[in-house]
Amino acid sequence: MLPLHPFRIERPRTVEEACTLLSQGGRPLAGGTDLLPNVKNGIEAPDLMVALWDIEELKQPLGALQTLRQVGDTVPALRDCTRSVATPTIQRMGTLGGNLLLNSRCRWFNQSRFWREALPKGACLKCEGGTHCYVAPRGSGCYAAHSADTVPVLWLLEAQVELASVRGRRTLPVDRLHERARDELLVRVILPSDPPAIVFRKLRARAAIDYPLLLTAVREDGVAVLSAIGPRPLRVEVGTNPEAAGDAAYAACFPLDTHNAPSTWRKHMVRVETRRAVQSLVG
Amino acid sequence: MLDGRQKVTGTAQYTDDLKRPRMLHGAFLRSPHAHARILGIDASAALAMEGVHLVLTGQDLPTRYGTIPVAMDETALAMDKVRFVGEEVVAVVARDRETARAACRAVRVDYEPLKAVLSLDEALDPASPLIHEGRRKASNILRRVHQVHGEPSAGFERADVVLEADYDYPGSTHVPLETHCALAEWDGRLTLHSSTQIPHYLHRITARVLGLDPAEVRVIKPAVGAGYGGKSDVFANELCAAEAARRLGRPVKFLLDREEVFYAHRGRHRTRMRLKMGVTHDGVLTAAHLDADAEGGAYASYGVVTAYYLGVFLSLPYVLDDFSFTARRVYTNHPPCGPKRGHGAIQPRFALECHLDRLAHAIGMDPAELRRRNAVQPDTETANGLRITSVGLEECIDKVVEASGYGTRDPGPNRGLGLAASAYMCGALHPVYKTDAPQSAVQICADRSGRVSLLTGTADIGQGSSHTLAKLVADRLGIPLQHVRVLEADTDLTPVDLGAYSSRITFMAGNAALSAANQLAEVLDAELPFAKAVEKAEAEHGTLAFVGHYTPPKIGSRFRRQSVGPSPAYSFTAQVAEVEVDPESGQVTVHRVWCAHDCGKALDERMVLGQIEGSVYMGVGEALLEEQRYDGPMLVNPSILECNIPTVHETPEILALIVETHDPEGPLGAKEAGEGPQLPTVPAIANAIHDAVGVRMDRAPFTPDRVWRALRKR
Repeated sequence: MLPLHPFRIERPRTVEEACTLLSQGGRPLAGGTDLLPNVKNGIEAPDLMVALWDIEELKQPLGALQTLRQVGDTVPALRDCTRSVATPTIQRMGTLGGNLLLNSRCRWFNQSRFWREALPKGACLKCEGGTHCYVAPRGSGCYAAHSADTVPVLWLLEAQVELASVRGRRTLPVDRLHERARDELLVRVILPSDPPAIVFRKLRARAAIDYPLLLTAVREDGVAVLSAIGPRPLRVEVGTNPEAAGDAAYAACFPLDTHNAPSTWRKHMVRVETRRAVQSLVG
Repeated sequence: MLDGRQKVTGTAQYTDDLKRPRMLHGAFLRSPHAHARILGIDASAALAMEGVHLVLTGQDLPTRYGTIPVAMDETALAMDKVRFVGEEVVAVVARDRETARAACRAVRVDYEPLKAVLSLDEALDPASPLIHEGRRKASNILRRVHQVHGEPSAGFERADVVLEADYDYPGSTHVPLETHCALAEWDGRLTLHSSTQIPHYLHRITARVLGLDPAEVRVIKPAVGAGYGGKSDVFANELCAAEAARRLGRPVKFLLDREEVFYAHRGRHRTRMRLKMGVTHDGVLTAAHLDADAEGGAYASYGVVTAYYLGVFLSLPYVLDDFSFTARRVYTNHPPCGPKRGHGAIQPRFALECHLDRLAHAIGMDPAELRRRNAVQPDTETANGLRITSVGLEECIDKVVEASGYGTRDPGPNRGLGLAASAYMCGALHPVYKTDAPQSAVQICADRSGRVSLLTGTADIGQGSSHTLAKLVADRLGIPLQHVRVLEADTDLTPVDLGAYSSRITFMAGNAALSAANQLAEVLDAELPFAKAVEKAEAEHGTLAFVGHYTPPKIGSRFRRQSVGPSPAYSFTAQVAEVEVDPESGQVTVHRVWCAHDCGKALDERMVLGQIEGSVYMGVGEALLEEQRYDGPMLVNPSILECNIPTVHETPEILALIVETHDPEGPLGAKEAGEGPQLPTVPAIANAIHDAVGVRMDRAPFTPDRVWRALRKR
């Protein structure tokens, strides 16, 4: 087992107490299923962890601290996308908030500190002090793949998220979640009362545990959100004709070389997965 | 099962479970370079840290070693050069692992980076830099083996059809659940606990490297959480723990983390092959030639042996009187390869079984029939001098063909059935060092309590060898299994055994155990209950202890230089895989695998079935998912998450069928079951993919992107 670095841990009992700690540079800790492995790999090393486990408000239906399993069991529209995360054990630990805020992933980044530093041009630019992108050597931005299984579906559901900070509370549409400030706590997800039909598909190397190679969600009106192909999910109006939908998605998506599976094949699969999603939606 | 209770309840003691008063912990600083000269090491800052007790560098343990004496090219820590990313350069011993790891980061190493050799082609290019200087031949080829048996050219002339094709088999690693761990103690003598498959070789090499009399070294192998060949070498963590314990006079533990196991590696060699075979219209194989190049990483490990294994089993399980091969095992600047289940035989088996399918189709013959027609026969000798005793090949083929409906059942659209078969050895005839001493010995003692103790140097690494030996003895003596206490793999107490490799324990230690049990049985009054009979025998003969040992027969071979390949017996296997291919995505699903294995005699049916299932599982992983992937110097997937071993979802339904042929030399007729059943899995799946969608997958693993590309080319 890899050692964790020493850190202080606080267990606030209210959202407000948590916000105060976050404003002091604290790092929220919920299920820890992604954060703790990242900390062990030296991807981040927070001095203060703010464990959210005792905050009742976050455990309410669709609260950020609800486990993926609880959400899947109670919200039919989110069943498929929560059951696709990792493994049943991780679904019972990992939370809705944690999945929404999942750090983006890349084969050049999600490695040990030793590995990243051994790279010929040093650790990549997503790491502190790194300057080089191994995915797009001429680029200056990070292309690590957005990999949160629940987000494409939540976007199509036009979900809102409630954020809290020492400055107060606000609500954002889920597709603007990236506007969240570092010290803002994700409190809950708000869903519209009458959810449309959505088909969700996850492509991955194995039928469990793996992060997505491609996420495809299509709504009954022919709007798709695809993800795991770049740093942010992509909304594409693909229509409801399966063939045309596949073509439209194919033309719009350019998977990057962030995964061990080749990007040419992943691009091909954009067409296949979108067509299949639309087929099962209309068929 | 003998130790099932301890395993299931978590009370079995693995090396990392062992704790000692005043125990210290070690960690390694590893090379960030694939190939570089070490100009200097400054450990002063690390040594100044609180809690740091010792820093070791290459100069502290300069004696070269290697499990195979003809290729001793390793030192415990890198000396003048580093040869792969992840190689151990400095060992730090401190009060805890965290301190040791932090201190490693405080050590400064000056490197002069050298051009690295990162592929098979670069290794074969004479213009490439040398990874190991000072070898007799200035080359990155560790070993080239060229053998000609019979007259291959005449054989090819006799053929009606000659086919040639290229195959590429990936490197993969073992992924034992338990990572490597060693605990050393010094009290004027050395005691080394380690998660090893080779306590005896570890004993010899540790004494050699530390400059100790072997009589002052005790190696103990606690419970081991699997090896699959990955713990068949001596590793830096063992030697550094031992040296640190000696210097500090305190117990020292070195536990590898998961990523470090990927650098310890010794896994499957990625092997590029070109196979040419001839066949007549009536299905007689006439000749074969194989060129095989194996990418071996930075050190030799068992690589010399690998080079032989790539070619010597071309003569099994089908009669082939005229064949030749050229195998080269090269060095590259990647983690060292070594033995993995089916060592060196897996790769050419993939090529040959796929090739047989091609040949069968070319002459319009049922692939099962082609295999039956050429099946090796009992009590014969192969062209390269392998002595064959019992053979259950045809029965294995018949069983899987019948059970699966191969050749008669249409599995449906995009589904296919594929067949493959194989043979494997039951222990290598020759130890890795030259000796005429027994390969295995078992001592049993009985007293009037009715308990029998069984002392053996074999290494139970989770495969259940202790259970098998205990069951042999218990059954022979007519006592409950739980009345046999096994004490294994403690070089102070147990007789020498060469270890858990080459599928040798059931056959060799089994014979030794049976011999000891027979000697005991001879002095017992069969009319009496066991405890009473022992008491009576004790009164007549004194305290009862018997030693059985096993030395393989000196099998005369026409081909004198064949030191790798000969075995006292061979197991045989046939498999049919049923797959489904998604023609759009290229995704392959293996639904079922039927595996019939000739294990001679199943000493314990559940153990044999378990080995068959585990073998097929590992084969499915190598067929569909697993590959050591390098991007230049970097291993890109050194984690459990990314190395892609199958989950339960990818694991097919496995229908294991046991075939018994009662080998004349096996204990009660038994042969091996631990490795052979893996050999046919990958080619059976490849042949099934061809049956399903008509494409030949000549490069494993058959990932969806590769199958998709092959389908597009069709």
